[in-house]
Amino acid sequence: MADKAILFDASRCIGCKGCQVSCKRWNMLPASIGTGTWQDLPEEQRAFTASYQNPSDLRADTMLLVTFNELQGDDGSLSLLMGRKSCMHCTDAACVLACPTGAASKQPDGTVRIDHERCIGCRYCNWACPFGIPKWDEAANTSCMCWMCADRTAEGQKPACVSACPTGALDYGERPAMLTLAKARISKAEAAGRPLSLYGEKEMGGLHVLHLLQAKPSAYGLPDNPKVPDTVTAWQSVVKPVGAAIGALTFLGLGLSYLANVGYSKKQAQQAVLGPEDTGAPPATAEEEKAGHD
Amino acid sequence: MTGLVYSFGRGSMTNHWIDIRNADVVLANGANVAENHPIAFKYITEAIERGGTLIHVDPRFTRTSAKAQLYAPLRSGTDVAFYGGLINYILENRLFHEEYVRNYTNASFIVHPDFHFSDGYFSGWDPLNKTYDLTSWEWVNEREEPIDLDDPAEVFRYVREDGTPFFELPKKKYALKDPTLQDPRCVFQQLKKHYSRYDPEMVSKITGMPKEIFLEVAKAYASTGRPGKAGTILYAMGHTQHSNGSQIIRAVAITQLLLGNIGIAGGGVNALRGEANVQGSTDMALLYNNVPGYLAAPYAEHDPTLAAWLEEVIRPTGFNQNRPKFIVSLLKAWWGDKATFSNDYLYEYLPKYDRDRACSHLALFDEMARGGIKGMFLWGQNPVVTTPNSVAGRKAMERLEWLVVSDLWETESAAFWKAPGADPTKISTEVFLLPAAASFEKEGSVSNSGRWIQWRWKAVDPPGDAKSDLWILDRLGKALMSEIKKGGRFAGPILDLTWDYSEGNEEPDVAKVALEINGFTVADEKPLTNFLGLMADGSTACGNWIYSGYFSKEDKPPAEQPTGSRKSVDGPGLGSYLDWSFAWPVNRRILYNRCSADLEGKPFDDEHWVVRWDGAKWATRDVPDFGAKTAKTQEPIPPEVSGKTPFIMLPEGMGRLFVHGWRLTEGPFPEHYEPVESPVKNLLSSVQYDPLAKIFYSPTLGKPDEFPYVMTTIRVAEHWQGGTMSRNLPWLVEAMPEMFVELSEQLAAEKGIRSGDVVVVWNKRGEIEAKAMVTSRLKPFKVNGSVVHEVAAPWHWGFAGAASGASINDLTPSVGDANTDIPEYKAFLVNLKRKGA
Repeated sequence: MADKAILFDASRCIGCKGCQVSCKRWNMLPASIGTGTWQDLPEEQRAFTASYQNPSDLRADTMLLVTFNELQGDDGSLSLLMGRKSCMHCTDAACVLACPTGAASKQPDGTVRIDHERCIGCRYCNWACPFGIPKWDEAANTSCMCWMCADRTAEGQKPACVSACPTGALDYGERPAMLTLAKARISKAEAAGRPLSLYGEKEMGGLHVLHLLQAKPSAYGLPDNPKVPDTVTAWQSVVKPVGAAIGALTFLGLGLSYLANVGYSKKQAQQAVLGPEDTGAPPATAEEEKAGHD
Repeated sequence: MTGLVYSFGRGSMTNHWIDIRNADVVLANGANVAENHPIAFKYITEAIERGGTLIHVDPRFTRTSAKAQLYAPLRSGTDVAFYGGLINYILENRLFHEEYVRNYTNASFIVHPDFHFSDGYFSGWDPLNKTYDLTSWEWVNEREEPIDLDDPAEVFRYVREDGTPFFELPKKKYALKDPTLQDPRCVFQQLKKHYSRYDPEMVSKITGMPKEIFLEVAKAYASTGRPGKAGTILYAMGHTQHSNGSQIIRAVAITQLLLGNIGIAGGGVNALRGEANVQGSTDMALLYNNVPGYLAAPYAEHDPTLAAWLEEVIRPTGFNQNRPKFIVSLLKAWWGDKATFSNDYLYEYLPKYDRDRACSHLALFDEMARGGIKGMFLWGQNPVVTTPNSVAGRKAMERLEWLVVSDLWETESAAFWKAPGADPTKISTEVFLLPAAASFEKEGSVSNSGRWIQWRWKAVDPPGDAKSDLWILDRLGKALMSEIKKGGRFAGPILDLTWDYSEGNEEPDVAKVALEINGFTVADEKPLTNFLGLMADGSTACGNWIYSGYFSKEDKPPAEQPTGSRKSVDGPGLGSYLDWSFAWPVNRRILYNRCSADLEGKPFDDEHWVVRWDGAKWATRDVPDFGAKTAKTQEPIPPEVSGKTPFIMLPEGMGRLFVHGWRLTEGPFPEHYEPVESPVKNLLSSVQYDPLAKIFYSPTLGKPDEFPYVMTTIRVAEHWQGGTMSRNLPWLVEAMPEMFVELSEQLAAEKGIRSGDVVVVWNKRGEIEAKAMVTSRLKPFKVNGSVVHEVAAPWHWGFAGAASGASINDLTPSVGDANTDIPEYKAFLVNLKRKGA
């Protein structure tokens, strides 16, 4: 199966939150107020975000969030960057590497999924993710994040967020095709003097949510150079193979910091987890090669 | 809408949503499209990606500004100054579309010799009675001629048909013109003179828009005056909700006429209607001053008889020669066989209103406050949240004997008797709450902003006892009939109604209603193809002439009617989608499209051409809004004929740079006045605010020494109007949970306010509390050398629902537009402080 990807074009996003609400609706995720009222919520759950960004961050019941990033230039110029915060579905997924039980796993279409039956609520993925995506559901003791609407895509439908977008800021398809589309948009935008940059082609071995950005990633609250944390690499290469043999839970008490700087390569770590056949980044396809030269 | 009717002939969006993508420059002013019309933004995005430019003019930097190539801040209520500056820039730099202005506008008309303007007033001002004598607001006619009914081409020959009501035929008028546009008395020179005072410095001083930004905007927008370029102006309530709102729209119209942007693809004056069916509601005359199809509602004192009404509304030339057909057919639709020639088609049954006692929203609440209104029906409206000066509005409602609310939830209005501050023990209003079906739970048509009448089918049954509005109205009609039979004054208008939409307690037949609106021949009840088949002799019935044609197939279900057509094929490639639904009038998508080509019929824009004369006939990518073929023989009509009168609804057939007569009460050209409440002295004249603004209650108006900050009301993508439909949906509540006030970092620093603090905002009308949202997106304005702070708050919150909060309309003034009474929600004065400070 070819890898799939979502392309998010920030230049087309108007911050209407149609995707955010559509995600909740399709995945039957409740709002914070449940069937009650906002005023009934405890004070600490009603913290004012002082922004159009609501809630303030992803939560176990909010797998996609439209972010609002207000910036003011030294010359007084304003920009309001609307971004998309949700699972990036990394090729080198830190959550997968950190997960002691295999609950977080790569799927044949390149996406990442957390299996709630196998999740033990250790929250290692929460800490490992360089994008801060997985969130812990305390009541169910499981971590939660976007699964790219696998139930919809299995039926040939687009993810709920993509279907909801009114301005065409979201596209879904095979990853090489999305890269081609992204690069075509970049050329067009450059010709018009309105530069766009691509985020996610190489980051984390290649993201399955590609971003076209109008400013540097950090302006959107994204890490400029996302990496699998060294602690996770170490955990993967040394402890987890052993742990898998004698039971992961034994090692829960170990601080990850203890394992930092052990120094195995990322590739070795991946091989340790995924086996030699599936080493992360898929080989570049002919289309991708071509797209790269567009 | 008023500003558009008197400029072009029809009071609606000239183009349509998809067509926005054909624009080279999109000017969104007084509209926050990204937040309030997110679907429309798709087409703006397309325009931008085709190399177009989006300019956003707004007091605040919003989600729309974030997408704009050019953002220009403007102090609320100074739009006429902005457009005046733009008009002056276009004229001074000769950037107007000269051929268009000369041939398709009234630029060459010679204005009455007494017409003049000085210090804020046009000629004819009567300071004692505060009205204008309008004699000089006319153009000079070269000659007048009686209508010649022996001329075979004369439209009025229909009056010879038996059964046509009597009325005096008007005289044809021919304006005196100077095609060179040099005569100092011609409209063009008068326009130039009027706006010469709006130079860039003055514009900047008034609006607070930095001069260099204004010039950048002016240059970018005026570039669309070049033939072949298209500029569209999108506006919404940021233009209409001002005491001079109609005049702001007029200024937009003048700008677009000068640049040749009316009637072309990617051009137009595009009023972005907010609700899914608000276009439909005005089309169907849910306005006090209309009957369906934008026919003037009769005034008691002026129009006692049908002849009197006809003589007031009929024009000697242009399409409104046909108005007798529309009104007679309407009366036949309503009162059927009872309406005959001998009883003037029961014109006497039409309600008449008193011109001095308008029945606008503001006027009704004013009357209610004085105890003059006994009962009120609210259909999907929540005035406790949305009425201006709503503290007083709630008090007024306490005087009602009964109130019926038909809605999806118990709204603040249904619960007004338990509002904070109300004493239920002292309120004797009996409230009936009718559960209404939501839009997906009923069938019928919805008319969008681009005049597309789209049929919608029912998806699910309404829950519980909820019923469609049609069912409720049908039941109400029947109940009124049986009640008035027991005895009542003037029972005829109710008893004689044709009211045959349902049997027993069934859901009424919505197709039957649609057929009545479409129109049919009385003898055999066959649907009319379009309004060209209407007669004034009682042989046709039609509930709304402009909709004629939308439901025209005999005995066919809605899916096979033009309104139900869903072919998403854009044959001609212009975005017209002529087989998707039906647009009024007669499926035209771009109004006044004769103006897209020159006098010889050659398109100004070869890429986005709409109509083209190929030497023998017209090639079209839209339905022509002019005579392209003769009705009887289908012979092509050559371009020189239609080129003489491209604005077919106006008697003189020309786009109006200068509007004559009483139609816009403050003057033939828009003039800048400050909002009724403003911290700034009018820099252009000694007339501080619109001299004809409707001030309903002045004691609660405030002065800047006490209330120094300008406040404007805003809307956000996450919520909807009075909030009934969004504050009860948990996901939307979560997406924007709380009422807030936006203020600049500078004002916040001055007042010691941080984001999240509770602020108290007040004026003489009320006091509210809300969370402070301190933001760089709002900046203080530099106005004539001083700093003016503006603050903003959304108007979606009220005391009920799953997310409650203060209503900003507790603070808005009971001030209305001089022509339409639309309240001045967008600019008023407040004071504010941090709670506890």
